[in-house]
Amino acid sequence: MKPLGSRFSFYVGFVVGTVLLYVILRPVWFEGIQLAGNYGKLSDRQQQLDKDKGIWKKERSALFNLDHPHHTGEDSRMADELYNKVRILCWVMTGPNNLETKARHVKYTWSRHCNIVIFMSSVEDPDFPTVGLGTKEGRDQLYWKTIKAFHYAYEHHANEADWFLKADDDTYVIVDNLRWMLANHTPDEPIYFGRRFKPYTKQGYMSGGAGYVLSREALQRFVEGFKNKVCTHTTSVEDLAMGQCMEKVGVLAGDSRDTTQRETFHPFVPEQHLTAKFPKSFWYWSYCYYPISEASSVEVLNPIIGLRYVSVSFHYVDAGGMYLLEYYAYHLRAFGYRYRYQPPTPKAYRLELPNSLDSAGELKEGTSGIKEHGDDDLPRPDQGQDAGPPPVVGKDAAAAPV
Amino acid sequence: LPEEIDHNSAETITVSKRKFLDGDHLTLADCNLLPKLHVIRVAAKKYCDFEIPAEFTGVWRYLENAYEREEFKQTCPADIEIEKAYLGGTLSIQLRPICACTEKPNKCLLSSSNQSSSDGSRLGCWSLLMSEARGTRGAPENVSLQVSTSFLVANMLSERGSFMKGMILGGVFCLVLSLLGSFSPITESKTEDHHHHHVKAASKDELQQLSESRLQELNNQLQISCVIMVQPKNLVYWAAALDTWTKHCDKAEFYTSESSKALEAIDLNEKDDWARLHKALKHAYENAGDIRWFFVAQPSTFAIIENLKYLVLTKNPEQPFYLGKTVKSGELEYVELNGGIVLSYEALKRLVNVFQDEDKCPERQSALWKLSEDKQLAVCLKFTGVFAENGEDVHGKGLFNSKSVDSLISESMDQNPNNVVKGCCSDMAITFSSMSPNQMQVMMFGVYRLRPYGHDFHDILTFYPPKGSDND
Repeated sequence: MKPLGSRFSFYVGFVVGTVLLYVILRPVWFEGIQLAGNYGKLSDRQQQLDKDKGIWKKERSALFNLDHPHHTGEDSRMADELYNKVRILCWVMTGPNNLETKARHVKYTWSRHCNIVIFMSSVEDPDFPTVGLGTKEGRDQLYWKTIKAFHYAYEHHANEADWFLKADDDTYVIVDNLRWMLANHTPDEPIYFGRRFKPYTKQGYMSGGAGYVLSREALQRFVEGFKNKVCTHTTSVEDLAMGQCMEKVGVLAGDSRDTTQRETFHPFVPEQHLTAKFPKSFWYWSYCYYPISEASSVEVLNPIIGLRYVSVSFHYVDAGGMYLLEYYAYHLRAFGYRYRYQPPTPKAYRLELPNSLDSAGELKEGTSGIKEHGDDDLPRPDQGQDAGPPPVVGKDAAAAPV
Repeated sequence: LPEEIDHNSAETITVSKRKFLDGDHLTLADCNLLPKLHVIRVAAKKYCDFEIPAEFTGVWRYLENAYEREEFKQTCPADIEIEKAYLGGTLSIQLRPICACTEKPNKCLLSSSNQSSSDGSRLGCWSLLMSEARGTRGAPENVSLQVSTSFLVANMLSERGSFMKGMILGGVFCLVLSLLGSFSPITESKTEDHHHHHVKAASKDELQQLSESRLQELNNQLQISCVIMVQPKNLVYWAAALDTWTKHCDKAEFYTSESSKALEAIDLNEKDDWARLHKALKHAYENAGDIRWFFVAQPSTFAIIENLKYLVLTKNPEQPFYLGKTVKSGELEYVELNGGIVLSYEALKRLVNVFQDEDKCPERQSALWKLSEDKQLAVCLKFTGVFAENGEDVHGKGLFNSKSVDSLISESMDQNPNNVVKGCCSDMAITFSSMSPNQMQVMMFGVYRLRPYGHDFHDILTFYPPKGSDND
């Protein structure tokens, strides 16, 4: 058996050696890759800084979006029009510990659709960039941060934007839809919008997490209110305190619902609004300002029925959720799909464009712009434009919107 | 042996009481002899019409005793294998049937068919131990072979030199492989790079050049029949699929393995995956009506039917199309069922034809050689000249995904942290898989409801939302 034994033990030794080294190498190999990855990251950072220059202009701790993100093949004339006419400054409440874990994802997703974005932190960071508000961190500092942030925005950018949005670093905002909602108002109105909650105030207040937006006039009154001591730091519950101050300085709490009376600012993530069955005793139901309409009385039991048509914001969105929402909103689409809800063109913009596009869907009585499939089940070919009635010619452009 | 007989008793014993050559347990000597006897029995009978004579009772008894042992019985190749091996009358080294004397039955199956299988079997390593004469036929060692590893260890220790050499070489081999970088702790046996066939949707320019009537024609044949393979154990996914994307199919049929009280489906009463698919496709073909495109999915897949229509818009269903996410497994390129399978009418017609050929495309696979149902489908289609093609968008990104959108986004966050969304998935993606029911509801919302105002696409066709649906 001698030659056989020799050859055989050679094979066995070979196998054992391979396995042994594999087991030893694996952690080492991974570490090596990580180290290499770290080196890669450093050069990546540099690359990213260079690339960022093409997206934003960094000025005075704010990022000015150079370009409204576009898709190949899309007709975004309406969105561009609104981008230029309804200028929004987004400020994002964040902190030094959240820059890489939360604020970063906001930076690369929805904030790119704002005209200006400023990240407000307690500490200044020139690279990110963030503004240092000079406060401490923590829940009890929320209203202080808010006060200082709005003051900062007013002092530095009052004339560069029309509307001033406050969002958290776990809020996702579809800025184009916000513009649609604001387009029927002017920045000279003392008004602010958000997800309206009922308690503790007369006119209600706007949920902090779901984001709220002030007109320029409202911002001015807010700042003056503090100067005149009409408004003070009453409580650290930021959204409630905000609501109380707004009431005092005569700023109206606006109705942000779409034309079908459906809410647009959402205090939770889509998954919860779509699938969670909130019990009747849940605080949410008693906080909602607007009366539970017919459609949403079923919402108490089955939120799916009360589905949104126009969404402006979601809250409690994690990092992956930011990219997922960006993908769903701005990237993934169904070819040729005729959406059920055609948001009516904001009044002031109806004549801006040569032909009436899809967005000028006329409101049908009862269905409020909801189109349903006809009797025949076959899709009809549609050569592009929606055959809506031609816009009425009149001196509408200069008319003050409601 | 004479001395042993003397030792046991005074009688003259003519018949051995022992079961095997050297006692009642299998020894190395038996390992040497028994395979040969077995082979003679089978091959000689087949080719020389020679049977071991019945008078050789001792031999037969010996063989019977051996057949009673699991370690022998389980490791003998099937008779047909032996017959094939000795077909030419000569031994071919690879196909020499070997039986192994081990405690655990060893899967020493030999690949003698030309069915493609990348996990083709090899000679059991143990067979090396027991392989036939290199002229070594030592005296039967009284080593207990119940635990052959101890034998091995003993052997190794006695051959320290070669063992060390082997180990060192093995280590070097491992090192080289990992350095080459092709060595990954999570090796995938499938390579996903070599797609010989790609299919893309028609470009916008191409579409604009079509005449109105031609467009109308194409539109009319653009109906999709969805074939969803469900099982009662997947009830939540089944319900989610029913409530979401399948509403956009022109026809959606659910085929189940067994009936469920909760939901309606066509009950195939079939547990076997391939047989079920076989029946479902046959049924879909026979009830196709005017529909010319078929889409097969599992309930945890979410499909955007409008994007599927866009992909096949200018493709002629009288041509054989077999589309989806293609994967190469050895020589076979197949479409993963997970990512959804698209079949044109012609492809399905050819498939149903080849169903009648039990050799090429059996309804029941042999127990030995079970292929997953998507591979089996590819094999059957291959016989009819239909090959898998990968569905891609204009940038070459895959349209059919066998993972969920959440996990793809996660991966993209790791791999392209500065360009997550663009690096992830196609804008015109057709399928995502392994979607939980909640994720499906969110995707339904994300595709059909969530959109930014002011961005329009003016697509050449319009697809309307289904009647009576409330979540799109």
